Amino acid sequence: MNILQVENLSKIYGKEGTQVKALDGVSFSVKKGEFVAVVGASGSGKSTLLHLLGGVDRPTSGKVYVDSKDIYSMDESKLAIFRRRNVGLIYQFYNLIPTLTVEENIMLPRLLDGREADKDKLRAILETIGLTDRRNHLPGQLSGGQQQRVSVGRALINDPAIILADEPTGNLDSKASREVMELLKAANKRYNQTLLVITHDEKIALQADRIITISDGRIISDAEVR
Amino acid sequence: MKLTAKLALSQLKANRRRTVLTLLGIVLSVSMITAVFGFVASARNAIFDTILKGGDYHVAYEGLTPEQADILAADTEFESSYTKEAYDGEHVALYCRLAQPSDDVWKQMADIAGKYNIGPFTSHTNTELLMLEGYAPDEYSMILFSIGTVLFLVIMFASIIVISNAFRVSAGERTKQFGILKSVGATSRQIRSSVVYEGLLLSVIGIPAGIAVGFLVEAAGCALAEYFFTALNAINNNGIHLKFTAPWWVIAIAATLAFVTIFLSAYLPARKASKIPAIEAIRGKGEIKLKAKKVLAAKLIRNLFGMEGELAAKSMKRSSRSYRATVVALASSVVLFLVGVSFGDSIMTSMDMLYPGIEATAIASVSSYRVVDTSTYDIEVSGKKQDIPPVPTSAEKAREATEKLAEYDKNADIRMIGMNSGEVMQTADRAILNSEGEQIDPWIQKEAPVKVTYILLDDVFYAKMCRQANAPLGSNLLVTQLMTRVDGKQTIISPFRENITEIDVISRDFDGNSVGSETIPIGGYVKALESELLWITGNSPAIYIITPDRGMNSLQWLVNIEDSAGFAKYAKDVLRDTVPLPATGNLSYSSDDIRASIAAQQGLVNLVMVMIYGFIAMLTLIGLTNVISTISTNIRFRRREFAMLVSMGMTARGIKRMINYESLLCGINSLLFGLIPGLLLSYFMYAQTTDLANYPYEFPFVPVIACALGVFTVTFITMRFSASRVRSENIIEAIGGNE
Repeated sequence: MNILQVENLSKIYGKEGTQVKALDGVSFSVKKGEFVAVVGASGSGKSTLLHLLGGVDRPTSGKVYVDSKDIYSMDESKLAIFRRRNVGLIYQFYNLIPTLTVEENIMLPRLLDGREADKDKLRAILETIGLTDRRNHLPGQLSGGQQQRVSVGRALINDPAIILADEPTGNLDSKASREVMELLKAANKRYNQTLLVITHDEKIALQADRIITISDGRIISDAEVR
Repeated sequence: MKLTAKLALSQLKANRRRTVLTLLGIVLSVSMITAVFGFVASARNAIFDTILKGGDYHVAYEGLTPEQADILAADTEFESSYTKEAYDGEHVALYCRLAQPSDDVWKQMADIAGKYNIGPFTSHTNTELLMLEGYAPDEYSMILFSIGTVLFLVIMFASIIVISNAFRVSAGERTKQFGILKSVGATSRQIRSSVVYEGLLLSVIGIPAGIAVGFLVEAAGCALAEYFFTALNAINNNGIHLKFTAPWWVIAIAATLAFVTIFLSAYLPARKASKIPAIEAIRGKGEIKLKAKKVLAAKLIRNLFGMEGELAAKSMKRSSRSYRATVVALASSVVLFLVGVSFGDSIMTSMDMLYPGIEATAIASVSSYRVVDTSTYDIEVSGKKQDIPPVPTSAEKAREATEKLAEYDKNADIRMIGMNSGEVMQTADRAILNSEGEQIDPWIQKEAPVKVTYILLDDVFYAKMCRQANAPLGSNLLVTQLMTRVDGKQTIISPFRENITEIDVISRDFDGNSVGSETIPIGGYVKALESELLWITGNSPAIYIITPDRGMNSLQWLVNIEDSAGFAKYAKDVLRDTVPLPATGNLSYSSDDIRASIAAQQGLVNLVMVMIYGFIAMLTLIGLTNVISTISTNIRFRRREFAMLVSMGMTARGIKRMINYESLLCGINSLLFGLIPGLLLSYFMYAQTTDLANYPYEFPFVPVIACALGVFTVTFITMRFSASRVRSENIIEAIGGNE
């Protein structure tokens, strides 16, 4: 079953004359539980792709189906609700809310959805990311690796259909990178969590089930990792 | 150019928006100081000019013989003196400067004259000069001095806040830049000197511009004053002329204050940057220290205001530092506003008390006086005084006259006031007075009864008084709150015992013998200050009873009418017709067009109003600039946070609600910090003016409510506006951007 289906997706920036095609007719699909790496040089369009998949941007043309739902047929507020229930986003710069504690940051997607805190789930996630004893710290009091682990936890709390990670280790040292990747892989294995990671780090790409390579807004290769 | 200077210049150029805001703050505060002190200087000059035009003397004796004048002039209590010949050619007037004016100059004059048995003479004092030289018996100058000090401090405080806030909003940014400089090898010394250059550059542009703007404002104010004084100057040749003046001390105060503030504000972030490791400064560590404080009642907040409310509360609580600049800006605006308004209020109230008046352009009256027949006035022979008693005009006649007068112009505002005072002797026993009643002078002696004055009002005014007193129409009303001078101060007194339901009034003849009595039931009480009765009761406390249907010796109509000159003519005839001269006794009629003198008075009041409101407007403007710049900077810094919330699935509505709650909390915080010192200062201002005029402190409900509304409106609008600009930016840019 395809959890993600992308059809002929294009994104053009700028007005006529100075147009830049960031994505140019991209199509692919991702099965449930798959771990896909998207690689490409800087400016190849991979971040644009991720934003379109996460519903934070709108494509110029083409369609994105998440869990068989055409996400760009929804209006802004429906899309916002869809996003918080079905998509987990992880960014290079963690993007935690600086005024919320570890625990509160992780619970945020749930709160946004107006649902009560699931204490057991929270405890399990804190345990998994190894920050149980730091759950009342603010992001500013944590290291980069720890902050990224919090954002992984935040992406996991709502059991999203898909987790989208944009250079999740781009800002981390190798030890922290390893920890974060282990965490993502564990989620992938343990919960059959679908995972799409953008990276330009070959070592990370090789840990995936499948590597999609993008160049100049087009897919130039889509291959299973042996 | 030295490298550090170059660096400073490039910083200013690179952050154009910040530079412009900072310069705006500097220009605003410098111009405010310049304008206010410029006004003070030109007002002082104008007052001295006017007073010295009248003569450089403290006291004057008139109607002296030249010999008497010589004797008096030689007295050692006078510092200098000169004489002027009177119109009659026989007498002279002696104008003297006192070496040491006492608190009671009149008494001092009489005492000096008494030494040489000189008298009778008429005399007058040059009150204004005495006041200006600091010998005011009513402590005028002391009050002006202490109010001036408060205003000076408020202005200084305001301008320091404006300038330092302009820097504070960018303190984080600046600390980061200094960190970068350090990381490429700049020494703390080099950073400091770049800051010095930055301060110098800003000062060189901002301070002269501010001084120029300030003098422009002063010039405009002087022109405005001249305009308001036109009417006054037209009827008074010793008129007041405010001339523009730009004394060096005004420039010195403005420039010094601004320079010191600019320098300190620019220097503090640099010092902070030089204290922490470069990388921490770059990362913005040590800039805003967040604390994982427990937010009280988070559950309750969530239940009441949803998770947006909870987020807002946490953000406010834990990053209160980033809100500090906004809260300081808002709170100081609240303080400034309250001080401005209460300053205005106390001036207006004391002016009302010192010069109680009624808006009228024409005045008409019918009065009958007791006439002592001087031909038979021979106390030695008869032991009796022959006199013609006054003839009261009945209440019906008074009403009829009011109606007829009103016919002249339907739009005219007519107020009638009738009084039975002095001429007929009516008294009541002191027993109805309380201890404050001591202030009411006895009719003859301390233990003697007190004078009763009856008042008759037109129907509209009377109905209004009854409403105020909560009494049915037809009641007699007692004026329970009066004004008098106690130790040289205008003081409000409430001299009556409580629950007076009736007053025994005894009529007396000229010798004080009782000739009849009646009991007047009292249906309610009114207060002079609140009910515009001050104009009638003035500074002479007595028992004033407003009655509905008693005949009055003296009737007066105060009329606010367009055609005041025509009315004055019309009134004379109408009054003679309606209230004819009685067969015995006397009656005098008068009607005058008083538009010119009222206009002159009004001009003065208007000027004071314009000055006060101008001052408040200026302070509010400064507060607004502060608030807008701090809020928009704060929101700009948080755009990543908003973008993140949106990407996580917060709806636009949710963001809006969160921002609303934050504005609300920010507003509440600011009000807490602003209202308390603001109210304390406003009380202080009140306490100062009570040296001049005693009146009860009134809690400034309206200004406080205005403050609250203003604070919330400004915060809401600015926050929403800045946030909408953030949202319209691509959220992806916001998220992807490096820290």
